[in-house]
Parts: sequence; C-alpha cells; structure tokens
Amino acid sequence: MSIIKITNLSKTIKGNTILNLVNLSIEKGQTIGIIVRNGSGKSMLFKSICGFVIPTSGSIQVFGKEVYKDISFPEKTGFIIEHPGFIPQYSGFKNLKILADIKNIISNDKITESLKEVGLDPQDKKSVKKYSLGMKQRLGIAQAIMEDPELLILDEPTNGLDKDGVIIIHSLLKKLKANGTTILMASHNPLDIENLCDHVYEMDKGDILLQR
Amino acid sequence: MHNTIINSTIQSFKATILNKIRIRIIILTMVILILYSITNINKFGLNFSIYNFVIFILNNPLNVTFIFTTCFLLLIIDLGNFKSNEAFCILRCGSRLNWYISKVLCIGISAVFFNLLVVFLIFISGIMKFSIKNSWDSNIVLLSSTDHNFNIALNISKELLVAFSPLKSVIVSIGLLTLYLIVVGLLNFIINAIAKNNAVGFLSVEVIIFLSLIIYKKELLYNNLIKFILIKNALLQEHTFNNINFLSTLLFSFLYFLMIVIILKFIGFALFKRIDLDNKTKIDSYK
Repeated sequence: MSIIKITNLSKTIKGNTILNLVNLSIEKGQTIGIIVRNGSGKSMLFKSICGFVIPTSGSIQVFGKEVYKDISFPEKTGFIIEHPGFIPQYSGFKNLKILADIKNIISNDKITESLKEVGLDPQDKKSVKKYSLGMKQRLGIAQAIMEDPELLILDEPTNGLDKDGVIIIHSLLKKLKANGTTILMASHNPLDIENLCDHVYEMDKGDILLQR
Repeated sequence: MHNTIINSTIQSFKATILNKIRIRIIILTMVILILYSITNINKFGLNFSIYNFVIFILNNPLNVTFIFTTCFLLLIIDLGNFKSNEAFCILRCGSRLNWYISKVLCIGISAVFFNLLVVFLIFISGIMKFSIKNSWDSNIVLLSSTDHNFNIALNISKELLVAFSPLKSVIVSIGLLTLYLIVVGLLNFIINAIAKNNAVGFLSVEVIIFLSLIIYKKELLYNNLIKFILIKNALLQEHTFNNINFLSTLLFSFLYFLMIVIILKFIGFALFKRIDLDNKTKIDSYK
C-alpha cells in the first residue's frame, strides 16, 4: 500500500516552476532519501505533501486521501521542514506540551519520553531562545515523533547536530523504521542517506529522479 | 474537533501575549496617554469619577484611531505569519477551517484582553485622582445640557448622561471598542495573508481607519450614510438613545459590527482555502 503517492505534481509561483511534474510513490515502512541541492524545490515538495502549499497541477495522496481535496493536512504525520520554530520564551517541554494540547492525544509522559529519545533533558527549564541550533533541531524531531506518527517527513534532520547528536538521531530513526514508520527525508549529509534509506532520489530544479 | 480549535486558540493567544517587548511598548504608550489625559481632564476643574475618566479616554476618536488601533495591531501583527511554531500548530489543527477559526477567536480574545488591559491601567493610574461614585456629577449634567463643545471635549453626550449610568457607559464603551478592534484585527489578518507582508497589512488598516476618521470629522457623507463609518460606531457618544435620525443606535452598531465580522470571516476563509500557508519561500532562490 502506498503511503504517499504523488502524481504529476507541479508548482509554479510567479512564472517560476518550482516543482516540475514530480512523480513519487512511497510504500509503508520504507525510508526514502532525497539528495538535494539548494533551490531544488525540496522544501516546496515537503510543504505540498504536508498541505501547506497548494499544487498548481497534479495530486498528492497520503494514506489514500488526496491532500487539499479530501483533507487539508495529512493525518498521523510528523514533520520538520526548514528550521523548526518554537516559542522562544518557553522551555522545550512546555513548547511540546502546548503543541500536544492541540490534539490532546498524548500524556506528559510521552512528551518526556520523546525528549529523552532525542537526547534532551525533559527537566531542563532553560528557555528555547537559549538553545543551540542542534538543541532546537533535536526539539524539532521530538515534536515530530511525540504523537507516534505513521509517516515522518524530515527536512535535513541532522542539520546543526554534533557527532553524538547525529548518532542519536540515526539510531532513533532506525528504531522508528523497524517499528514500521514510513520516513521521507531530505539531506545534504550523505551519511544520513547511506545509513538510513531504502531508496534514494536526487532532486534538482524541481525534477526528481531515482538514483538507487 | 471543537477542542482542537479551542486548544489552538489558547496556544495562539499565549504566543501573542508572550511577546514581552510588544506588551511593554503597549503599556508604556497607554501610561503616557493616561497621564496626558489626566492633565487634560483636570483643566475642566470639575468633580469627575473614574468612570468619567475611562469614558474620556475610550471614546476619544483620536485615541481610538491612532493609539488603540496602532497598539492593537502591534499586538496581533504576526498572528497569521508562519513564524515560530505555527506550522506545527497548523498540521495539528487538522484542517484549514479549524486553524482559521482559531485565529479569528484569538483576535477576539486579544481584543478583549487589550481593552481590559487599557481599562485596568486607567483604573490604577486614576484611582487616586478620581472618585469611584457611579453617578454623574450635577455640574457635568448641567454643562452637558447647555454646552455642545463641552460634550465634544469630554466625549459624552446629553442623551448618554440621561440614558446610562457611568459604569454602564464604561461597559458599553468597552463592548463597542472590542467589536471595533475585532474588525480591525480581521482586516489586518486578511490583508497580511494576501500581501504576505506584515507592514502592508498594518499600513493598509491604518490608512482605512484614518480615512474613516477624516470622513467622520469632516462629515463628508450624507447623514444617513455617516452611520456606516467604522469609527463612528465605535464611539458611545455618537449613539442615539432617543432615535435621532442620523445617529446609530446601539443595536444598529452591534448588527453593523456583526455583519462586518461575518463578511470578513467568510472572505478570510475563502482566501485561506486557496492560498499557500507559507511566507518563507523566496522565489529568487528558484530562478
């Protein structure tokens, strides 16, 4: 069963083609990597899958439902796209608590567990504005996984992480993959792609091609 | 679904009022306005109550146009921006409609919060200077019935003093101002979404309100049409309690604001169904 099925997806803004007839199918439990260059259209592709950006043409189905037509946003999906943003005055835990309260489907223990899984201290009262780039990235990943999504969309998941951080996140993603989570990730880091992905695509100037 | 909307509204409101710099600027501006207004009202040499003083500030068209509108817009200026954790919230809202409704509710709650903050500041700044009695001073009633300029200077009307007690006038003024700010906030939210630029939304709303003030001050419309000026419906003293033709009744203003809010709400939703929820993308990087 295809978790994501993208058919002839195009996106044009002010005459600039950002996505050009993209076709992509991702099966349940797969981890798909996209090798990207700057300005390749990767963020636009991810935003389209998440429902933030409306396609100019083509369709995106997630869990069998067409995004923007059947549903506004895909269900059971966690994501980080570009730099994860948080309320700078609040601690990491409080930021996740605020987000978790919107759907109200997980307990505080689950938030604590998610923070621990990315190597952050749930008891840390430090406000997010004092976090390093790597800590914000870890918090972003904790945010993405805390509600046990079946689909993870990760844009540069190891961006800003130190060596230990990369190891922790790789190990976490392998665990999620083993549990059946479908993962779509883009990265500049060849290690992310080599270590984690079943299939690799290359994206450039709005086109996507299978590499291996 | 309703819980999702409420929870999203709460998170949006928390993010709005957590901006300490903006809250400090608003409080400082209000304190300066209140101190300036104390000096002005004391020039009348009459025995004013704190309620008189609240009405004096809340119903001044220049205060409403330039200070309240600007400060309120400052408070909610980036409500529709996809900054901070907004993208994470949007996805958790489940639908664009839920997200949009939560933003509209947040504008409403922020308008109430803003007005209560202003009234609170007026009370704590003026409580030592003015009495708390809930009745109009006989000298004020006398002057109001004979001197039209006195009414204009104090932002009251002869009819108002007969119809409402000071406390009731304050409560109704807060209600009108809240409805006015909700309209202003929605306008700003929608223009920001179209322009994808906070400054454009802010300036556009300021221009609309400023033009509304000019039309109101210069009486550039026919009497029957002037009822439809935004600013006129926000000011309590511009209402009739004796069915004077060219003045609005409170019911008219309530329905007027309600209609605008409903229209803006539908325009906003139609818009947010069709636009990209993204103002980070820089097109130049794709050229």
